[in-house]
Amino acid sequence: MAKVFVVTSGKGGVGKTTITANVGCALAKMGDRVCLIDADIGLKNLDVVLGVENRIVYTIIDVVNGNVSPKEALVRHKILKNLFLLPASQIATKEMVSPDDMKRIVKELSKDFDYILIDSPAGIERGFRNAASPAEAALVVTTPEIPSISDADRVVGLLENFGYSDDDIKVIINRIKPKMVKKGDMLSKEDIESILALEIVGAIPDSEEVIAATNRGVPIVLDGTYITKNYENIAQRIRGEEVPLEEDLKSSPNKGLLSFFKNLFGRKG
Amino acid sequence: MRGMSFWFLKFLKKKERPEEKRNEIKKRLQTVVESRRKEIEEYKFAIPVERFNKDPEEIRRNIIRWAVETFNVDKRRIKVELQEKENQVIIITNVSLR
Repeated sequence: MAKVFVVTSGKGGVGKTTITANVGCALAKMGDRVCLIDADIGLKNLDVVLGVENRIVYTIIDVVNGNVSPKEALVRHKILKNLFLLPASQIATKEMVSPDDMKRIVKELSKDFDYILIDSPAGIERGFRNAASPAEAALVVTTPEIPSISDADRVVGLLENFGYSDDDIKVIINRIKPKMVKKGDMLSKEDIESILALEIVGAIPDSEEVIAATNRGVPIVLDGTYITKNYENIAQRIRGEEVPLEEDLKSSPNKGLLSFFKNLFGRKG
Repeated sequence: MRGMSFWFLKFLKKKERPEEKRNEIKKRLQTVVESRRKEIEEYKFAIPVERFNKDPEEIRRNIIRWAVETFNVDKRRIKVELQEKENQVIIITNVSLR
């Protein structure tokens, strides 16, 4: 049976979809059977980040309407053959799916996968409830800014109301800038951990390469850059492996002489 | 000359230490978060059985009226359920504060 996670945040634009895609890819790279569900109905993007937008035949709405089974609607990833996506529909609304529909879909898919990651829409309305209700654990994504952290805290409260315990809720800090933290202009992971009082399972440095990879439709985990390791660390922690959090902030873009020459001759840094 | 003195004053100004700056941000975040984390108070009522048996609907209406005044919400946001369990009447009141 699959372990089901909802990837949520409260605030929009913090990187939930990118994290869902990349953590999913990292788990699949490690050999797990992974299913990603795009619960952001009406504003779907997970297919675009994964680069499978042209392969979609059926969406979650077809499954809800009983036209196809959840398995029939899945789209297999081009490179990772054990990674699947249940796409959202762009023309539907979040109200066309209920938490019970989601529970039924997840239950049916659960037996065929090791992990199911549900990409929640921003906000705390119906879409969030749809995404959170079939999951047993949550990955709360936040950036190190006050509005994002306070929204994350609100979402944590709602998840607790849904019956999640503190152990079921993990935090991922996205777009951290170690230099700003050092200068005192940005909160550190320790600061965020002390405010939210939850376990942090990953800190991802801010990176232009993530934007470039998203625009190419290739999750950065498959690109083999310095930030790949951060997503792999998160995947390992999700699998229950011990990886010190300090490892996450060790990675940084290579700016040395070797990198300069690599860039000069067109090789990846 | 004036620009020069500004530069000199800026130079003399004590620089804030990174930890102090971060603590200030943290304090601000703490205030924002705490203002949102309002504790829900627990209210206990004792309703005599005779009164309850006489008119349960009246009890329900009174609870709704009290919740409207206490939480300053529309009465449509309040749900009151009366359940009987092991010879006890349980009143469940759900107030949607959003």
